Amino acid sequence: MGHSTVIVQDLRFSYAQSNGLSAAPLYDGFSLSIGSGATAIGGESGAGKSTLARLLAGHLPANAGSVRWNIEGGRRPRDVNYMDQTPMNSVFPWQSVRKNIEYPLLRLGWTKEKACHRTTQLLDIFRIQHVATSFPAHISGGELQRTAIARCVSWSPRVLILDESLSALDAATKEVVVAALRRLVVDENVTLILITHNPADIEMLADRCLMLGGRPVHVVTDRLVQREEPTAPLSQNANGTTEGSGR
Amino acid sequence: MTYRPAKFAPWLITAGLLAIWQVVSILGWVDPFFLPSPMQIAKALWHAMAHERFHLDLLWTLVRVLSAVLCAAAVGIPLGLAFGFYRRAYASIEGLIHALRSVPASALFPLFLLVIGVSERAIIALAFYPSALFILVNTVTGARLANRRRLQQAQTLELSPRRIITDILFYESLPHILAGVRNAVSYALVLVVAVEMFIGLSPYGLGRRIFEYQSAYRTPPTYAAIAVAGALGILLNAFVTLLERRLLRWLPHTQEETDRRTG
Repeated sequence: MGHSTVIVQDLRFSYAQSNGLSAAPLYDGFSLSIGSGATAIGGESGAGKSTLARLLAGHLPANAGSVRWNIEGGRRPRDVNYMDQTPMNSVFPWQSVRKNIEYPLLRLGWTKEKACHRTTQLLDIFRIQHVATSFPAHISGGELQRTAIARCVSWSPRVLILDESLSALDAATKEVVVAALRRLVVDENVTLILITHNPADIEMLADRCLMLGGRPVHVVTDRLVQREEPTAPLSQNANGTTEGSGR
Repeated sequence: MTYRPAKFAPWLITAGLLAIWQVVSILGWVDPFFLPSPMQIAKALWHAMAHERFHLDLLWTLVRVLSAVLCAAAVGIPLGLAFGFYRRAYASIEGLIHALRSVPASALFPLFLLVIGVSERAIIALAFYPSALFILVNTVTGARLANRRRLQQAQTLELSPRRIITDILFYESLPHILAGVRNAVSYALVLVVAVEMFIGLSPYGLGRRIFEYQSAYRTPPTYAAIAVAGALGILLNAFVTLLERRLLRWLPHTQEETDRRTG
C-alpha cells in the first residue's frame, strides 16, 4: 500500500468571518507537510490544534490556501477519518459495541463474513470482547473510547486524525490502544495524525512531533521522536492472543 | 438515600378513597342519582358487560384510536424524517404545518363528514389529523437535533440519503417520535370519544354509550362507561411507555451515563 501524505499551503483561516467580526486570522500563510507514519501535533490549549485537525479533515473550510491530500488512487471520503474528544460522537449509541464496529465495514462493501471476522479481531485487539453486546451508554468511559477508536480504524482508513482521542484512557488500556495504533501505522501504512497536549502520548506513539504556537499560528518546533517498533505484527494478534503491547 | 414510596402506596390511597366514597353513599350524604356508590357503579359495569355488549363499545373505541394513531405514525414518521433530511423543503412549509396544527381538529369534523361521507372513515380521519401533525412535527424536531458529527460520519462512509434516514436520523429522532406518539394517543382518544358521542355513526363506542346512558338518566352505568374510558387512556399510555422501554433501551439509564453522552 502506498504512503498517504498531506500538503498544506498558504493556509488562511479565521473564525471571525463566520461571526461577522473582523479580527486577526488564526492561520495566515501557514504551510506544512505531513508524511506517512505517526505525527503528533502539540501545543498549549487554544493554540489552534483542533482547528488544524478539522481543517485537515475537511470539516472546516479554509479562507484561502489549500489542503492537498496525496493518496494512492485519489482521495475518497473514506480515506481520511477524524475522531474528536467526545467518543460518543464517533459511535452510534443505538448500536451494540459489536454492531458499531461492524457497521462501517458493511456500508463500505465488505462481505458479511469478512466484516464479522475483522470485528472479532478488533474486539480482541482493543480488549472490549466482554462488552460486545452492550450499548455505548452502558459501558465505562475507557471502554467507550476504545470502542470509538476501534470503529474509526475498522476499515483501515489511509489517514486517521485523532483529536485528543486518548484522553480518557488509564495507563494500562492506553498501552493496548497505543500498541494497536502503532501496528496500523507500521503494518497497514496508515498515516496517523495525533492532536494532543500530553507529552507522554507523543513519546509513546509518534514518529514526528510538531508544536504549534503564536498568532497567526506557526510551527514552533519540529522534531523526530526516537522509538522502538513493536515486534508482533497486527495479524498475529487475531489468533487468540490478547496481550497487546508487543514491545 | 433517596426517598422511595412503597409500591403499594398508590393502590392503598385509591382503595382508601373508594372506601370513603362508599361510606359517604351508605350514610346518604349525597344524592345517589348524581353520585352513585362505587359498588353500584361496579354492578352497573358488570350488568353492561353481561347484558348490553359493553365490551364491544370498548373494542370499537380502541380500534378507532389505534387505527388513527397507526396511520398517523405511518405517514408522520417517514414524512418527518424526509423533512429532517431535506431541511430546505421543511423550511418552506413549516409555517403551513404550524397553521394547520392550530386549527382545532373538532372544528373540522363537519367538513370531514361532507368530504369523506358519514362513515367510520370520517371518525378515524378526524383523530388521524392532529395525531399525524403531532408525530410529524416531533419527528422533524428530533431529526434536526441529530448529532452533527454522526452526520459527518455518514459523509465519510458515503451513505445514501435513504441510509442516512433509516440508519441515523430515525434513531436520533426516536425519543421525540415516541413523545409525539404519546401525545397523539391521548388526543386521538379525546376526539374519538367526543365524535362517538354526538354523531350517531355507529351503534358502538364508549362515547356513544356514555351519551345514551346519560340520556336515559342511568347514572351508575354513565359513571361506569366514563371510568372505562379513563382506564383505556391509562392503558394506552402504559403501552407507549412499554414501547419506549423496548425501543430506547440504548439510552443512558443514570445521570453518570447521561453526562458521558456529551463528553
